[in-house]
Amino acid sequence: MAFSLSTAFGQPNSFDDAAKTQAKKMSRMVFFMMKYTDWPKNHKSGDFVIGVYGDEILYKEVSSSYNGTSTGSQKIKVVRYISVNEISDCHLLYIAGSKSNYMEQINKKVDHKKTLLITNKSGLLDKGPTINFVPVNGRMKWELNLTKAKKYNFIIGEDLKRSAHKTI
Amino acid sequence: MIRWFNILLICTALPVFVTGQSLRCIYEDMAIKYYQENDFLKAKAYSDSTLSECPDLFDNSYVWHVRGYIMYQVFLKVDNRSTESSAREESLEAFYRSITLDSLKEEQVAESKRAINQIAKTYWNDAAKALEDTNSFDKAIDYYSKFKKTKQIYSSNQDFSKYNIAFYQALGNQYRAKYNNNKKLYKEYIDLSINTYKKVLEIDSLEYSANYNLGVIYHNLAVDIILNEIELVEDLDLFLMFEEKTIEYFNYALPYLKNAYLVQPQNKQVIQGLAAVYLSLHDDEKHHLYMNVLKERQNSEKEKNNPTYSSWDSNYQYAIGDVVEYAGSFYKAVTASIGVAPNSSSADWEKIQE
Repeated sequence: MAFSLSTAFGQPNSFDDAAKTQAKKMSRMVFFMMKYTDWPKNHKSGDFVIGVYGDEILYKEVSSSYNGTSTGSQKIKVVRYISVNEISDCHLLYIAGSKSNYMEQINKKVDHKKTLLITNKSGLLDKGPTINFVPVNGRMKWELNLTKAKKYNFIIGEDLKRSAHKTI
Repeated sequence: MIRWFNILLICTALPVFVTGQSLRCIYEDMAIKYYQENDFLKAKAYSDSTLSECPDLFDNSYVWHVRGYIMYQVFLKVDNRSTESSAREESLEAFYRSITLDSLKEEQVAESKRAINQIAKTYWNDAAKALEDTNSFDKAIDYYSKFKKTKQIYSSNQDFSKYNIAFYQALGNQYRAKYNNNKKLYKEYIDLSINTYKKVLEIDSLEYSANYNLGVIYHNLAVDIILNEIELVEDLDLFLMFEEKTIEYFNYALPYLKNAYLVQPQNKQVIQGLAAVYLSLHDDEKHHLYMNVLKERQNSEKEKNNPTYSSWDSNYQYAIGDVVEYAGSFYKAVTASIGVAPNSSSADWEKIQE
């Protein structure tokens, strides 16, 4: 009788779902950015719209986790934008790293007094976002553009500031 | 087994009893008689009597040799190979005594050792069978330990590397299977699994399965934290703490998957694993590198399974063995030709597939 090795390869390895798993983590990061940021008073009514541009897997995760839930008194609505032209009125806009070439157009398109821009690419912090996700030694960190936040009356929570990789 | 014993009996049985002995022992004669008649219980009873009633034969190697076979048959035929049977150990002990009492009887020692090797195999099989049940790990370890002890009697300079690798690999798999059955209830089993696979790597640091499995385990531990903790956590500091733990696990997974890749660079599972870990560590460059390798492997397999051939070209000089697609069929060149349409000459082209 030989020892059965079948179980070695019959057990789940989760490799197939790596992108989805990472999207779950990123989705939670987006949640924390929302949770620890205070929007200007005049944008604290009506639906709270989260827009995702350029990352379908993340959009699905954010949508399944937060669409229909609430932040404060606002009901969260998650929308996906396929092109820059589609981007419209939203409170938080996540822009995938692959779409960072469109920053100039996006900057022109959004209302910075209302929309918190979150990007995900190194070197992008001074190109328009208030928050930029960057990989640092395997971890996903965030950089904060506090100057921009202050200019448009966003209050960034101390917890986010304390844990930020970089602030300007 | 019976055959060996019979051969030995025919050649040497009874004379051995009297050689060097001052008296015959009727019990031993009866033990042999009943053994030959396949009545192993009676054979055992007379063998017991020999040892208790004929003290002069207590140190006779042949008496123990015979007893070894009798007890082995009791184990096999009377106790139906039951793991609870004490006959197997008694058989082993008898053969061992036989060898130690007289190591100069080469043929007898060789027969005893062969029988000991058979007993070792039964322990190996029992260990393997015990591992099929995720509640019998202790038994499996015990049987494996007995297997090794028995093998060492068979051959004192036995190399256990290949046995250790096979056993620890299987044990690690089963610990892991138990953990996966209920990760909360059996959480200690994942550490047991990790430590068991590491024992394999202590023997062979490039053993593929142990490396791959350790890579998978550490990767999955990180994934479980993301799915079960990070996704639900409300506190930022906790989130960061959990993330730190996932990074630690992903970093643990990496060297094992790299080793597995060294050993099996064609294995898609490993390539996929490396791509997944690099993605999780936000190393896009390496993630894409391994994703590209994976695509190449997939395309190459696809090509192998469904080869594509170019269409026949009337201006091309074809060599023997070239394959072309022509009018919906495939043809192989039997001769070198130019301008000879594949369907026009079976002397130049052989149709191989519609």
